[in-house]
Amino acid sequence: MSGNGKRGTVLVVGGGISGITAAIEASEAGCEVVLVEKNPYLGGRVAQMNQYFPKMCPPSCGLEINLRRIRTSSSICCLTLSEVEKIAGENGHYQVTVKRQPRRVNSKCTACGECVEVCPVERSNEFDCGIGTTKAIYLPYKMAYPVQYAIDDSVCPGAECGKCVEVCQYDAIELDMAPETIELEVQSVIWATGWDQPDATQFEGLGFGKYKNVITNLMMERLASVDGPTGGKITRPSDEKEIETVAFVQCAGSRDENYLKHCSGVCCMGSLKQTRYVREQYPDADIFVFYIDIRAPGRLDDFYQKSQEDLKLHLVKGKVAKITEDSANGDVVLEAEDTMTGERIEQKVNLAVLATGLLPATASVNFDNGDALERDEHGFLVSEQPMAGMLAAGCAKRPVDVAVCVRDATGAALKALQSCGE
Amino acid sequence: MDNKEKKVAVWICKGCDIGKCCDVEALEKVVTDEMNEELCRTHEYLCGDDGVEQIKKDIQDGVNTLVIAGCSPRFNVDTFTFDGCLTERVNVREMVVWSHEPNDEDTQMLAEDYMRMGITRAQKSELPAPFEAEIDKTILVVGGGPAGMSAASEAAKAGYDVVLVEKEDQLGGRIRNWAKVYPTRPPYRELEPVDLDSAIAEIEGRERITVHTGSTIAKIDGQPGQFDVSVKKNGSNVEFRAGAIVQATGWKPYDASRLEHLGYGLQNVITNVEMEELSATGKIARPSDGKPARKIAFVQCAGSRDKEHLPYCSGVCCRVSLKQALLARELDAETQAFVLYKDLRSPGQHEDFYRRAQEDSEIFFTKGDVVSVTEGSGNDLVVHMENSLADLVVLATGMVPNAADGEAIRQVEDAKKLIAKDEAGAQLEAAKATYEALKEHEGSEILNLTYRQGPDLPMLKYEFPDSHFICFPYETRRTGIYAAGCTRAPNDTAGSKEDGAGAALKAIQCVELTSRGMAMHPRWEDLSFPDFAMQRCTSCKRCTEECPFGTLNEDEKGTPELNLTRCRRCGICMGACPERIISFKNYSVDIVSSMIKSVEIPDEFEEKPRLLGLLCENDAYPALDVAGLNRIQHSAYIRFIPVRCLGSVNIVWIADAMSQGYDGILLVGCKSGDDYQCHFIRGSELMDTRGKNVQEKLQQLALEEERVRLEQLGIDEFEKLPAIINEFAEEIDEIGLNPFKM
Amino acid sequence: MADAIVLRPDREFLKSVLAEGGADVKKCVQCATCSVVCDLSTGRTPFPRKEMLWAQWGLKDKLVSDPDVWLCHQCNDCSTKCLRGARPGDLLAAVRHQAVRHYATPKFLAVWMNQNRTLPLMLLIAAFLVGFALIIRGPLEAALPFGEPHHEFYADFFPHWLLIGYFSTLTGLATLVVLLGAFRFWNAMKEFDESSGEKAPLLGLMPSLMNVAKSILVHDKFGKCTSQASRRIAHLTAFYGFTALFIVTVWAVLDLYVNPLLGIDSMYPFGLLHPMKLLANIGAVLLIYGSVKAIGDRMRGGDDAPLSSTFDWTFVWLLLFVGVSGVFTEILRFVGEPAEIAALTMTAYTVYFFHLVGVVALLVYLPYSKFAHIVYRTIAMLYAEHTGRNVSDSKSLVPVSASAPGGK
Repeated sequence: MSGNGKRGTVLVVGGGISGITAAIEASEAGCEVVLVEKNPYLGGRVAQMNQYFPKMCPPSCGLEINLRRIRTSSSICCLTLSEVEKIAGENGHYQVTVKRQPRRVNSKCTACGECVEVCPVERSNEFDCGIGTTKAIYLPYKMAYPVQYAIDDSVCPGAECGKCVEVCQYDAIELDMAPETIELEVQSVIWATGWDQPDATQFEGLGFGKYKNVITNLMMERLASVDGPTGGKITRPSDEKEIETVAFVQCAGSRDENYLKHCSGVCCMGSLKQTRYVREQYPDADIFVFYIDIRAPGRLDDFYQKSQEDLKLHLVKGKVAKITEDSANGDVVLEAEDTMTGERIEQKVNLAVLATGLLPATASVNFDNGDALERDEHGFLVSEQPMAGMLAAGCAKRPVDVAVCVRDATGAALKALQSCGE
Repeated sequence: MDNKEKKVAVWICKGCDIGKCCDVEALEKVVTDEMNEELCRTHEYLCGDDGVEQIKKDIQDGVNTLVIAGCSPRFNVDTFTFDGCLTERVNVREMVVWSHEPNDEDTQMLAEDYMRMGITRAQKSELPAPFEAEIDKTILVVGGGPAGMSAASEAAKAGYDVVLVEKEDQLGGRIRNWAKVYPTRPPYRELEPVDLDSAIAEIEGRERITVHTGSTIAKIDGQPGQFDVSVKKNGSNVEFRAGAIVQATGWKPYDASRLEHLGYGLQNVITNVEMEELSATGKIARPSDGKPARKIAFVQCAGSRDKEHLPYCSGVCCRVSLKQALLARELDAETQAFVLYKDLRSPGQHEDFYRRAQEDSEIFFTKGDVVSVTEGSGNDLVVHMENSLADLVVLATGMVPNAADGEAIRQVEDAKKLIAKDEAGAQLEAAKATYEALKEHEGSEILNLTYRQGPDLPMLKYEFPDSHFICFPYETRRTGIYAAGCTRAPNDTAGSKEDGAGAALKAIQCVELTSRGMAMHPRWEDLSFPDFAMQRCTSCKRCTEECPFGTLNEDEKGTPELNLTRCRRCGICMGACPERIISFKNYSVDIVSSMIKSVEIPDEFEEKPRLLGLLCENDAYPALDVAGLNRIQHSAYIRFIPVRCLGSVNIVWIADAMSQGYDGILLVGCKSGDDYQCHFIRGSELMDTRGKNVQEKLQQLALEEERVRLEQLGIDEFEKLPAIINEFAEEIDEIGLNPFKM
Repeated sequence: MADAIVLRPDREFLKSVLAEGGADVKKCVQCATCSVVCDLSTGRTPFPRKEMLWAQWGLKDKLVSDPDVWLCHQCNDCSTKCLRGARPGDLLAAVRHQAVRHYATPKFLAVWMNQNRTLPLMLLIAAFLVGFALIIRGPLEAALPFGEPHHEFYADFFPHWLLIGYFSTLTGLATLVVLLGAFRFWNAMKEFDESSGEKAPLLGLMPSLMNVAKSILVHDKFGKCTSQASRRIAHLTAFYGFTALFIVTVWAVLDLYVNPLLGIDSMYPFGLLHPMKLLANIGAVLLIYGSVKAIGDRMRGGDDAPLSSTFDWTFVWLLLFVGVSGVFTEILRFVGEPAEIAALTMTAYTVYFFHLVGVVALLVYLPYSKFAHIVYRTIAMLYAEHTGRNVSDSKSLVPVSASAPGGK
């Protein structure tokens, strides 16, 4: 016989798919887990996705199961709107200070939504990448967990308005809720801080931010999502018109020494996936994918092969280096060289989607003893961290898809288990 | 706990518009007068502290069964969970007041029916008690390559005993004969040595790990927590008990003899695996004449990404060729290497490794498809892409999982039995056909499980055994047995090690949860388990066939033998059983039938149709919840019952409903097919096949088959579901009411 | 892209390309950003992406018969925007140098001219050539009865008949050599296009020539390199400066030897206000200004600055030297006249001598120095016009209806 015995506590930083997985796997194997997430909801990036490749299935399907596992678990404590502020201690014994921002809505919230009716303030909906708005008091997204509204400090006028407080029958709203500081004793920390989108406006010549109909791949996910700003109808931003032609610009900033030196790993599959969104809504649309190499690793390649059977999906080997706008109707003109034919291409399309890559999210933490997490030149956390019990998982470590994140997080959970003793 | 001593309290929450939108007093009457539950209370806001306090008071007064009418069971789970107390949630918020006309007659009827159903369920259900069994927590790791070694040492480090079984005489697997590996750490530029010895030392140094090299698995009996393993080790057998299994049996190179068009068979055309061996000799010599190979062409995707051969990409060959090119250059500065690729795949930080190779002035890259390789003068090779000369061609061939197809092997065995019996007839012909088709699987066993459904993991797409490779990559269809490394998916060394650790965690999790009498993913918190009333069993074998997890074995008569810890509590066996002898304490044919019957069916003069909806609780139910959350309305004529999986629907329910006078039945399950979304693999398909019998039943009753409809729904289609419901309601309306109404 | 030579890269060529400006060429991943960001790149045969591939593979024959290499003015937009820092702009410069070498006869002169080790030798030879003229002056004068039309300060040192006779012979030779190179270049281009099945000429030679001339006069192509406006000015001024001086020289010859035959008496030496004199001085100023500016631009450095090899430096410094020494010669002439102060005369003659050496290095070495671009680039531009390959007609894969979107 072996194993078991009371185990210690693991801190998981980041409530995306990697963090959620690590937290659940560790807790179901016997650890106490504290899950810290800076957003008011769990789910991270995958929550913003419409579908996963290659199965074209909704992320909420897996999330539902995982969130149920969290809901019913007595050994996982979720802290949303929270970030790690300070870490003291060393090899396997860490005192962590977590800063929790006020949600201004407490656990009494029943998500009945009456507050939203009366809230006078609108805010840009960052969950939808700024397409569309929400009220200052809002539910981050339709299937958000915890199912609890939140108030955006930056726009809420606070007590002087107070309309929501009046209408809430459950005293769920506390406009004067203060930030909290939480002290934790943990044996291990799993950094699953995920990824950020690079600022696409800096990509010279690609016209993002300048032309309305140049969008990022994440915006495309929101446009295609049923719970997105357009209710899942893919239309172009400038005039909400249906599209006949759309182009995907691969390696927008990735594999590029001027921006992201690394290959972001998932954008090729991401765009091929999004061509399916378009095809489903527009059977006759002409779809272009401009690429350097199509990187559909492992079992994902058959998805690429299937895409090649689509006669109105034009795969062009050549990077788009210039995008201009036809001010007459908002169409955009993409310029590239088809390196297979050696011809220079100028393709006009209704909508251009930049396959912007993955930047490692830089969660900067100050360690008491001046230590720091070890990162590679791209900013990703290296697997073997110098400090015992410090672990990295998922896209904080390298740009990978959901399946690899889950695999990675599960492995990290075991390593955490080890530092949590028997 | 049995029904006599049940003490029920029914609580109705008035919050979230419930009080406003329906007549709560009428609901109370239903509870007290109709359902005879005298303990019925209401609260303005039950999930608040005060509400919870009052419930606790009830429990102190001896209440052990709660019916809580309010929000969906997906919310306030912990709020309404009380130790030793059976809680039944009645969803009158999302499924009634938020999705229907307020204070409407039909809405009220709906609410009342849900009360009836909920209370019925509460009255019939019992609080499941966890089974108890002696659980062994030893982890068996099959395969001593990177994945297996990592699984073993990581599990041991976490404090678990491990037995590692390797068929070769030494640990290490394929990387044994490799000179170097491509970079695994920053700056991701330089080749790294294969440091096998220290890894092996690390394994052999741990007293928690028992290593059996030169050994294979003779037999694995039993179930998670109680696997009785017998290992064949030089002649003799070693026997021991294990709790869970990691299968890391690695990969084999794709059979290059099928790549003649790429010149395999010519003396100087070799595979990347053979190239590894060549590099390890420290000298790249042409097989034909032993002269140093100075022009080496690497042909990428040889037999990969090709429908004729391997449809997938093995993910590593590009980087392996870069490595072999650099290695060849290290060994001989005169060497020129030519990499001929379709797409050069060096994802993530490995882009830096690609850069490194490019900077070498004697390594040349070009994109294009190699159509053929032939022999020119003096064994020079002509690569017909660039029609160019090389004196060595390396085919970058892909990986094939080194796993056996349990189900295929089982079919072969069954076929052989039948043929042996030699009873003439169609069956025999079929058996012979199956045998012919599958005979190459004969004797390919690896795990030798004594499972009715076959001695190994079932193979799924491309012969990989993982069944849910996006969200739950370690899911296999054999509880407590997890594939890792290249057996699970194409992987490089670093990836395999990570994968080993992941699989080990799942194995540990399995023994831990099992020891607490809990189920594994996805119903991990479930303590209930199926109970077979054997005396009524007719040995029809449906349950043993249909269980997606091979839980049930058969004795020689074909009577099912239950292996509890293999069970995932999906209830598919319950749905399959024609004799209805399988039930869970809180989920049984009887419970659901009674709920169906508890609904008040208006007589035909009221012209109010009644529809029954059986919803998969994993995807369809949450979708309906979200629809309610968004106040999307649906027909008030339908009554929903969540089911664990559509596969757990027993068609007797449909018969009951029809004879009860329901006018139509809507079954909503998860998407099926190659990209299935069912957490129990085949729920909708099973229901579909059973649906055929349903249709027969309907014909017997002279009822239109449109009255029963099967729908597949994604969890995100919360806007589509109400539309489906309403559309179905209209259709039934057209067909007319069920003549069997009394 | 099927070629028999593909796995037989010209390693020597590759090495020298790598050594002279193309060091980063192997970093290229063929994304073709360069071909798109280049304002001079054309629709039918965009560059420099294909040149990068050829260079990576050491395909010399393709590169030296490729006009596009010469259509580049090295604004380095491609280099700054390159994903990999492969610096296509510098690669093309390196290839141009290789091309000059390739078409030069004898080749070794082109080699000597452009490596620091041998450059002094070349200059010595130039000096020797001038000196040799002075040595053979006496014997020649004795042998043939040359009547010096009129005595003149520098002519006393280096008589006009000798100057013109001797230099025009040398320059004539040089011209022959470079024209031979140009001829081979032209055929190479044609062969290459025919082999790759390019279509027939689009525009007649004469009209093409007119277009090219127009284009050169205003430097409009160079003008497209917006990021390199100042280099364009430098080139433009130097170009006009040189042209002006060239015209003056030719006129001087006519004035001295042809006019008298036509009964017009020679005005030589021109007075300070003579239009030719004025033109000469303006030319000198432009030449100096242009070359100084060019040197400045190359020294400024920066990501977009062209990478400069001996090939480039020799040429610009030579221009400056010829310009400056010319001016000094002129000034000294006025100081030194009449030849009373021996010291001054000595200086003047010395300066004049070195000026002439400069001129030899510039003109006579033209086929072997960067100066050759004056011919090869022109030829390439002519060819591009002639075949219509420079027409910038990018292709659209699928035409989009103007009324898009929202057809449904």
